[in-house]
Amino acid sequence: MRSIRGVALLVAALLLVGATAALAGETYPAKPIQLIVPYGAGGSTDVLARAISQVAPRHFPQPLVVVNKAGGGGIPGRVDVVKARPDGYTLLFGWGSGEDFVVPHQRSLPYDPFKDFEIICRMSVHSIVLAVPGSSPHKDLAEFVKWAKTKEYVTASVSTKGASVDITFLLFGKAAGIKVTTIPGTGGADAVTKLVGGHVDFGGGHPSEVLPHIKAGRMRGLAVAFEKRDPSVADIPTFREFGYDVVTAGSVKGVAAPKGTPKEVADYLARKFKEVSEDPEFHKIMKDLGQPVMYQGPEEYMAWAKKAFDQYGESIKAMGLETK
Amino acid sequence: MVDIGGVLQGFAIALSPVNLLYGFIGALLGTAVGVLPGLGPAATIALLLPVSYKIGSPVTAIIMMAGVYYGAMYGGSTTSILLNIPGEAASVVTCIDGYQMAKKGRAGPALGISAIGSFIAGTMGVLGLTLVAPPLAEFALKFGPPEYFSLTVVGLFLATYLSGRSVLKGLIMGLLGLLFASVGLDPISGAVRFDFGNPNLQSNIDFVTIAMGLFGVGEILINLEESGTLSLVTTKITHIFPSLADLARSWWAMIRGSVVGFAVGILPGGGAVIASLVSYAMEKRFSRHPEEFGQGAIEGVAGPEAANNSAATSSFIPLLTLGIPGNASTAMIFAALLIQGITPGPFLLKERADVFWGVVASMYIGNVMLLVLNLPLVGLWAQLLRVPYAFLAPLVGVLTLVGVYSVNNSVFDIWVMLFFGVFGYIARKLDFEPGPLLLAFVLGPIMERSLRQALLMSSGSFAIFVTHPISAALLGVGVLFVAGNVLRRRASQG
Amino acid sequence: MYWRAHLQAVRVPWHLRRRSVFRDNPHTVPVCVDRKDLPQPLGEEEAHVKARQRWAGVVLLAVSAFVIYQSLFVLRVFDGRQPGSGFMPLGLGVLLAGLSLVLLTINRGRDEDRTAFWARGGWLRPLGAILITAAYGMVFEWLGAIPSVAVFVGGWLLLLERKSMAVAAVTAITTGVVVYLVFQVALQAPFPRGTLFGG
Repeated sequence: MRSIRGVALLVAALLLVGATAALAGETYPAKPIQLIVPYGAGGSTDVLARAISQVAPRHFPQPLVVVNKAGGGGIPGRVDVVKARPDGYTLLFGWGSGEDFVVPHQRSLPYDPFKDFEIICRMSVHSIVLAVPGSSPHKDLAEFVKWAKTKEYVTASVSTKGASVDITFLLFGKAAGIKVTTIPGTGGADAVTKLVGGHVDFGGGHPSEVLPHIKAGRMRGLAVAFEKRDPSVADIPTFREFGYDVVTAGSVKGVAAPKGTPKEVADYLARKFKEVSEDPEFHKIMKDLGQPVMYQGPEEYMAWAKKAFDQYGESIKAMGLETK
Repeated sequence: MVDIGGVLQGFAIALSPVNLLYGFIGALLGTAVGVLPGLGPAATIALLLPVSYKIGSPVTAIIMMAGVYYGAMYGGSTTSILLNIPGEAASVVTCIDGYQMAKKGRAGPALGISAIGSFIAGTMGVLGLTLVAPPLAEFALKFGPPEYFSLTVVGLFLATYLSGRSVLKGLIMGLLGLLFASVGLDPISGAVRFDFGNPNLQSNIDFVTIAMGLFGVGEILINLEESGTLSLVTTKITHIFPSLADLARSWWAMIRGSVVGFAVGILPGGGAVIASLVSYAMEKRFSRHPEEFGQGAIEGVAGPEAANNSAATSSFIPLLTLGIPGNASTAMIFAALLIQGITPGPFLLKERADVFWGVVASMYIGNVMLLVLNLPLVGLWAQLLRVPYAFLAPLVGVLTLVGVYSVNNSVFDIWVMLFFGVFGYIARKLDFEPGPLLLAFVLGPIMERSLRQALLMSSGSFAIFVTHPISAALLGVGVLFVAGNVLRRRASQG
Repeated sequence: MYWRAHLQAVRVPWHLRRRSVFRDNPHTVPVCVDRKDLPQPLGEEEAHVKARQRWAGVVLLAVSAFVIYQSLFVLRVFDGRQPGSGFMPLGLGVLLAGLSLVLLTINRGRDEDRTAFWARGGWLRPLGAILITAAYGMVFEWLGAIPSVAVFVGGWLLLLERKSMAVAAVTAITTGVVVYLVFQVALQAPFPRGTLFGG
């Protein structure tokens, strides 16, 4: 009896203490904003988010804090943002990657990439580069394809199954008439390591992932899957230049907020990120990183994103990868 | 071959007052973080990244972050020894004999030898780094999926070898560990396994959750049964530091551990855990008192501790020489370097030799600083065990609860931890050791992923594990080890 | 039964102890010995009672059956010529089933004498701890992190350790404050403030 009363008193006292600490009204942003990156640290998305957060203090009154929620193929991190309160303090960074444009065509996800998010803006687009190990004798894509045609199959290391890199390489295989077995791993860094170690016939990833190794001679970039040459890897020809129509939207790095975020907050964010994208220091960092700055505002990005989504859908249907 | 000029330049950089200060801050923070469960070194380094830009000099920033990384290793060993709660996967092995020593009132010598072993390992690691970094890194690259599979298989054998009395129960716990690791997303195809329809289970169970539950909560529950437990250690603590006899016994363990740790730790992903396992098995084999292992043999602490610290040092090698980060903490440091405009990789030595040598020298300074920081604290930590258990238990409980929540900000994790706590409690009562489960849990995903990747490479042929020389060699070692073990047990019983 | 009984202080049952803060009696301090270290079989026997090992075996067998079922019918064992998601679990399930059977076989037969499964004091305190932790989990989102911590510590000390209200309250509040300072202020870990307080 005594102890129960005691516990009740304790709880009441605590409630009183806590209630007096409630916050009154506030203007946005009144506390740090979280940028959730659904991938591991050191990856291209993560590094880009950190570059933004480094430049942000000059434009945002509150710091942008990068939080990694890696694992589960990028899904749980996104789910966390979908479920978060739409108050503008939790944002998803990396909206537009494979999980949003590619995977929905292949299986059902616990969220809808377009309906469950408020799209803020696009910051960059990472193209997909095909590369071979430095020890490989093939000097360009044509030579490689000729060699590949003599083999029963060729192996390629990709970041994760069904991601944009995976799809691109499979598309390439179809276009070139060679059988490609993609080997998924834990992400871009893992795929690059396998390629550098010579365990697969080819591989690649985004320019920021492959550029340091190409410079060191450990890899040779053979082609890039863009419409025009990617400025960050300007001396790598596009697939089209070899006659293969392999063009994908790559991996798009955008910012998104949970659905229901107030319009003023979304507009504010779009404006501020635009400022960041025009900041010269940001440009310098991006150049060092090997990532292009490609800002797009909310409406433009939505339209472009829908197109990219549909384009991936067609590619997947064409290759019969649909499993739904 | 050794660039003496570079090494001296590195020391000059590392010994500058600013760098020493930041190194110390990093070490202090790292130790604190290592002791507090939940917040890992990777997360702390992430928190420090914005600070690192403001510092200006990338070398200073790296020195601070490396300090955090090593400090966390030291701190993780502390909780392993004092509370039987592993700070990270590489400290699980330390729990086995370390905690037993603590319960016998020998927490001081355990902590002390752990600090000394780590220091020796760090020194040897830095030496190794200066001498053999590039060729070793090249060798590490040769480890592809088949090699990783064989390596983790050997690791799993070793883990069950630690199982104390009953190999059968060790194997069962190992299997359960592998099964728990399969809950969540399949590493290759992304399909969901064993989620019971609950979306929270769709991301794999976190190491911290299962470690806190199995070791932290489970231990508390067991201790609560004994109503006579006043505090964990009630004898007078006479020896704070390892005696000369302790040092003599552990000397070779520390040397061997350092070498093993250095060699194995260079492999990205999982190197440190396997290093600690190999060291423990090795010490048990070479010891003159093998029966003491599991009851508080000091070599069982000295060896694995040295191994996991030198593994931490050599995990920088792939980062600095090839630009490939080996684990979450080095990945953070990698990100920090990239943003500062420095690309780790083969050119680092040529273009920014100051960064390269500065980092190397800072590791050494960091080790010295951590030794200086930790040895005096040993006495303090040892006294912690004298706190009446009535207070210690709920406080440790709070630590685990807060720690487990801070990993994913998910209340569900608290329930999972509670589940593993009850599980660990019942397992202990039935004489099943929790160690092999946790180790299998860590190694399992790597093994399955490598297995399936290798089979993709070979288009379904299992021959790939034998045709690749390194993989075949590792499997051979594993088989020999198991055979030797079985024969020895037969001999001792027959 | 404890072989060092002659060294021990008089053991007052825990629910009848005086409520005081520290109880260190330096003259008759029992050595806390791990059950595994005791030469004869206090811990071993209670664990090695065959009937209990058989229960463990049965549970493990059930688990393995579940795993095998899931691998065969829910997950795909083979994806073409490649192992699918069910490959590894199937192998593990089969191995586990085998080992459970071995466990059952080793432990067949009667037990000569059985020692209690629960040490003196029994299962009450561990159960209490489990319930308090569960309570923490339930109020966590409602009260927020810091008050929940205080409730946890306070409840524990009051109910499990039979400390006085004053001691429990002081320790609870101190712990709450320390946790707040260390985690929320110093480490900036994002904790919920509880729906009660508009967090």
